[in-house]
Amino acid sequence: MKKTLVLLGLMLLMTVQLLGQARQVTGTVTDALDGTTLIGVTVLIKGTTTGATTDINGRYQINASPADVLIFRFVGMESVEEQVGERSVINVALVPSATTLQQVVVTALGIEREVRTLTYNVQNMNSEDILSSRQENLVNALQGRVSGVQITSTGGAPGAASEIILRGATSVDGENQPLFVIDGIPISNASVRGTTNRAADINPSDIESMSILKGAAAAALYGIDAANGAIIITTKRGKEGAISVGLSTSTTLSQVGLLHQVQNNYSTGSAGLFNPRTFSHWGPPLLRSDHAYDNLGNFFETGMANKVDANVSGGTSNMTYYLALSSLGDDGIVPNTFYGRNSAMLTGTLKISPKISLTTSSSIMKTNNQTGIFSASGGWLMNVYRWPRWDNMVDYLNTDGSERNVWIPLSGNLAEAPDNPMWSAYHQVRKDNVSRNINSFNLTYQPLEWLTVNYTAGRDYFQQHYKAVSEPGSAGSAAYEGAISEFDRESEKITSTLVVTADYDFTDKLRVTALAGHNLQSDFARNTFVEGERFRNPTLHSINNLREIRNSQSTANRRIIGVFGDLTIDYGRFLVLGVTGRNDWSSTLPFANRSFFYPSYSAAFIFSELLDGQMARVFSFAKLRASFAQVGKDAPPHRLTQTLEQFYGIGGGWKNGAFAGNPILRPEITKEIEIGTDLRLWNGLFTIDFTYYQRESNDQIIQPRVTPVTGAILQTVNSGSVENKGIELLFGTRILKTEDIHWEITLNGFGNRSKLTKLFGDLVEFPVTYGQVSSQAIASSWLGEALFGIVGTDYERNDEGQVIVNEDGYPFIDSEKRYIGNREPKLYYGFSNDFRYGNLEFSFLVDGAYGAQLLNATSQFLISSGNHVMMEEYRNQEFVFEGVVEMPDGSYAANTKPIVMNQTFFNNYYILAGTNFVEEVAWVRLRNVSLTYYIPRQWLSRIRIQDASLNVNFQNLLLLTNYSGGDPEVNNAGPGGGASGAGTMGVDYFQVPPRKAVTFGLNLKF
Amino acid sequence: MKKYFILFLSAFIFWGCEDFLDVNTSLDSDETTTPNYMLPAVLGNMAYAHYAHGETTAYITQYVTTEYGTHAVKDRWDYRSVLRINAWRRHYFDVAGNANKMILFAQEEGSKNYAGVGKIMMAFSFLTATDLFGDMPVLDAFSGDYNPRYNAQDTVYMEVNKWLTEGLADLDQASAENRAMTSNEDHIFAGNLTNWKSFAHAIRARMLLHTANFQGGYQAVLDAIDQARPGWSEPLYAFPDQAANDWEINLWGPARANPQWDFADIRNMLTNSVHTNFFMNAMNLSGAHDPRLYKLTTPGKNGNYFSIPASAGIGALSMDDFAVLYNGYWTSDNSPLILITDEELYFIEAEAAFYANDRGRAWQAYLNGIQRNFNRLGVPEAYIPYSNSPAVAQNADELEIFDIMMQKYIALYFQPEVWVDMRRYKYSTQAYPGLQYPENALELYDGQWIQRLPYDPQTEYIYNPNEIERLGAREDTWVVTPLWWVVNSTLSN
Repeated sequence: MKKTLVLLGLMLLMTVQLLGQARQVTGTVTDALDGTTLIGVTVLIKGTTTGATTDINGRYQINASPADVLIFRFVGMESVEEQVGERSVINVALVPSATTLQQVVVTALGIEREVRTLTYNVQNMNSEDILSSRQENLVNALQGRVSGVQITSTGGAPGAASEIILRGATSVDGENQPLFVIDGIPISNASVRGTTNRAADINPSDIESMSILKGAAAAALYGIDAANGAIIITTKRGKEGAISVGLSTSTTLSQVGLLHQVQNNYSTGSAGLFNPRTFSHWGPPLLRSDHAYDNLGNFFETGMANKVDANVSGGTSNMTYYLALSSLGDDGIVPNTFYGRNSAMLTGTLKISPKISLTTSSSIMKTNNQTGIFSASGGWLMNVYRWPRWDNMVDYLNTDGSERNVWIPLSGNLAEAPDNPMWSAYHQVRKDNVSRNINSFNLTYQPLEWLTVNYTAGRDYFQQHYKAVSEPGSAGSAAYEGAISEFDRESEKITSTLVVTADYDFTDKLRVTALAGHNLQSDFARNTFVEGERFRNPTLHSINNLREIRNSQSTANRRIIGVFGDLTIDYGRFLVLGVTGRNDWSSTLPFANRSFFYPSYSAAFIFSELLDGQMARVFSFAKLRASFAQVGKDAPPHRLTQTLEQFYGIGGGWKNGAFAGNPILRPEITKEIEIGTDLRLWNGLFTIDFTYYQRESNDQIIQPRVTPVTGAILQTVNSGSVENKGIELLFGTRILKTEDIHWEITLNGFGNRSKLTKLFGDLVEFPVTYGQVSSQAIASSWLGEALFGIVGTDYERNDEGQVIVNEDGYPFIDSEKRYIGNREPKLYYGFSNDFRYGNLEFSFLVDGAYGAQLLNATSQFLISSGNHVMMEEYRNQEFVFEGVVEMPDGSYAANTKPIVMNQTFFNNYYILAGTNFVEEVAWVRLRNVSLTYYIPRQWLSRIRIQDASLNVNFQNLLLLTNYSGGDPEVNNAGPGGGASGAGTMGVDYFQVPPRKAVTFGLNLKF
Repeated sequence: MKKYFILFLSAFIFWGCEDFLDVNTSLDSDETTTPNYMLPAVLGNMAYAHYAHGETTAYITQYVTTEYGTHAVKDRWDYRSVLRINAWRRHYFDVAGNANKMILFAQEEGSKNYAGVGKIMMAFSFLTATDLFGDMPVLDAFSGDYNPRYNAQDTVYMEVNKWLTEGLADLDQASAENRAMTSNEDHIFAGNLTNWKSFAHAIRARMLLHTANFQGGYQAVLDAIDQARPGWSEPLYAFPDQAANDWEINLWGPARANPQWDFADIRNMLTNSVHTNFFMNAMNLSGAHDPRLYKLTTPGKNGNYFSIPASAGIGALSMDDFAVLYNGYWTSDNSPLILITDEELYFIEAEAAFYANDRGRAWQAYLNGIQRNFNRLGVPEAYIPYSNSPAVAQNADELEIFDIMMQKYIALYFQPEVWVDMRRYKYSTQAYPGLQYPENALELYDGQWIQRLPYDPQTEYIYNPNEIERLGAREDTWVVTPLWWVVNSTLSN
């Protein structure tokens, strides 16, 4: 062992001495089993970060000195080392790994670990998978590919926010989204006032890989913010060698996806009588002479997005660089909506000495999102769906450019006339501009072969400017004369992390890795709000032009100090034991409770190491793993005392703030047990990764409403427990692998069960306090039931569950609200298929879920306004409600009295039963189909192009579902509505559905 | 720069942890202030609450009814799927919660004037709230208890009385050294403490009237009136002619102001409302209209003044044949909100004197009330002819209780106190001739009148379920369950 060390040391020295003598080495890497070429094999000069990868033909080229040792690494293959010597061509055949998994994944704190030694589930996504999703919000790129995640986007508008939750929600009330980390520094994924989740600022093209750390064990070292898991992003790096230039462009055309259906038979009014001043379509039948406009269909446009990515990279043995520039412009399917992003990233690595290297990375992003004004509770399309059918909605302007009112209100007050959605799209525009800068630098010092000191510092800073303008003429007493709402947000996250790692092989059988670290984090956010009404000049969109202005400011400060340690013992290649511990000091907790410690313990048993004979051939690799971990969590900032807020009415001054203070808050603790297995059978023909987890969050820091009798609306308390348990399964198989054809299938599945086991005080229900749209059923958590609950009303039922009907034949409504549904799917699954034949690559991704109960509030509103498509068939039909009538003696007899399904029935009975709008749905989606053609190199060499490929990619091509409301991927408020607790995943409320799209792309490498 | 940064951060690693973490104090808001900065919110929020009460009760007391007759709450008294009962939070959080803080701040610095005004507002807010809800927490309120006990309504009344007594005592002790209270802080009385004391006595008169019939306290009512009258000025919350924003618009006005999200569910619906037969009959002078009608409303398109039975819906009638309810004396964007009107004081006096068998005083107060209303509405010249008409009791002996109550009804157009009166009289046609049960009220009420509002479903039913259970407030019939002063009322039936 020591000899090896000495030898390594010598080799390092020699490398330095022989630096000047580097020359080009080329070669081809093949699979030893079948002789096919291998693409993407990492070729690394040992002891350096210099490397190359093999191209589509399995060829690589690298500058190396005769003393260098080349390491060839590939997923599922044994690594091979080759001394360069005097050779200029080194061809290598790799053998599938029978006993080891050399693949390296990035885990907490950027620690690279061999898959073999992992004691918990980490799923990795590479650049290709990310890019082939063609999703510009990187959160969406994970959809269908990663098990254990729930992703719901707020819709198909450009820049729509997406919500991501790993392994079910742990918090009844607080943040449930994972931590995002780029190149070792945590970044903000906040979503403010319905604007996009800020991780979407990252250009997916810049990402080399993403590791999804789902469990508490994986995330324990990141501390507080990783209590919900972590997504570790590694950006692309330059490689030693000649300058390389990449260019890719793409154009995407998109269309609106599946919508709710509306009736085409009836006009506006009430009780069958025509009324031209209402959205309610309970009027008379439309006559043949009436023109019924397809306002819904006419509203949408074909969206078009263009993107250009360019990068330049290269380097010498002492330094490498990677520069990427990108520009995206996305015109949405809703008129006058746009999302644009321009970004630049420069990363450089400098080897200061053989022992010291420095990497710095800097990126600048500017995003620009333009949408029509909409509320935080979704509802974009409400008036589009309900617009009077006799009116041509798209014709929304008068000749003088003012808004054409669909009706003149009886009061004569034009401010009362509803806004045309087209007017809102063009004249009630909301703009959200972000200018962001992420900088990091990393210094690595390796004084001894087994000892590394690593320091990372980073800063994520952005300025957000949000401005929503309602031009004069918009509906509302204030907006009629013009209104502006603006905020500026400044957000800064600074982190500093020092890690000392000792990695030492004591004997051939015993390897010990010990790590100690220190971490500082400072989060700062300042929001300045300005809003006001009544323009002086009609066209000047500035707050200077307002007759009335109100301001407010909020500043949030949070700082954390952490120290941590990690000890991993790898014994005999079959047993890995790990212990971690972390202590945090958080500024948001009272002095007495601000320090808290939490440990994790884990083990992996690689039993394939102990097998031989036939069993060893079947179980090429087999591992069992188990872990127990805790993660602590602090409180939101500034919650220890009740403060005063501005009073905006006459006289001004102060009034009580909504939050009561709590000076005795304690940290909340999440505990998780995870067991799993990782199997590679028959030399990797089948790969199975199975995980079971159970997680419990206690002493939650929640902000329940309290009775206003206390003088406050909300209170921050330690109370409540949530349990989650679930399974994650990943199954892969290599169906075909010949010289020309390569076909792989991956299947993943995920099911989570949550339960709210304890609540604050006498509470039995914890409602989601934002994005509530229906009085009869709301997103809410009920004690003893699933966290993603629906709570609402039902028909009154007897003990047998039969609906009780009154003597006139109408059902009774039981207005007492109870738990009536679980919005979390029972099972998510994804199925991806990668097929390569010669120069052609084809892949598709199907994903789906079943067992989710959605709250279809859109349907409820369509019914109450008589617009639901079922009115075509059912309105005014007679039917006998299936139920029972209570007899004078207390017995029940079947109802026989027919009723008419008219406005009275629907509005006074049907819509009052919340259960009518809970739908259990299943769906299967052809999420992605991608076809890539690599242009043969011999054609390209003449025009000095190294690689070129053409790509066509379809997204959301096909959706099969039993859902009555079109696309079941719904989340009415999204993370911007508050992103706290069980959220509004699974609540359908007039949102723009996900789009269908086709992308044409061209990739060039010079 | 970066080197400096490293040094800077490394420094933290080795020292100064506690300072580094000392950033949890809010930079943008304080925990305390002086009482002068709290008073505008107390008064403003009480004005909004007063409007909200009126907006709720105007449909129950049948001034108006909705166009379609299908509104769950307003027509059917169906509270089963109501999301919010705004008045609950407005009382506890917006008015009394702030008054409570203001009293504390005032007591700390010895400002008896602010402490006294705070207690009077506390009393008024609690009185108006309990008259809507009945039993409610008062002893445990603002104590930090998350599950406050609900007190019986007589206890609430006792506490209200106590606040009035203490408030008056504080004002008696107020001195020139106290923190100044001017029109900047006091939008109602511009700091005139004599007016505040009169207002306190008027609140007491109103409260005593509610229970006088079964507690034998009519003389006490008259005493309170006598104490109120000398320094009396109407507690009037004025709105400017040129509102700078929605906060400065009377919520009854045609602008249908919606200053903030929590006002959405109390925006007025007068666009879609019309007068009831009951109200229009009171306006009927043998075929002609009471001249006050033209001041309470503006003419509709066809100049007609149709009306319909409460909750019946206009059916095939046209809205053009009804009066426009906006831009009347009480329903303009700049109309005042008056917490207790001159007329109310006169009619309290009339009713108390009537039952105290002082018919002469009753009749005079009755006439004063009517005349004051004619003056208020800008038709003083019409008072004499009106007072000589059969619509008005011609002498003390002729005076009947319905004369008093119906004139009070007209004079207190849209005022929430009218609902208290109707319930005290158990919606009796003796006091309110021609009052009819709304045909579309929920069947399950079985003909019983609405007696109270349910507690706020968003807070009490979820966050204080045991007390709700104890009271039986979960029952659908809770809203037709009479309050303490109705159960005990001996007034005609």
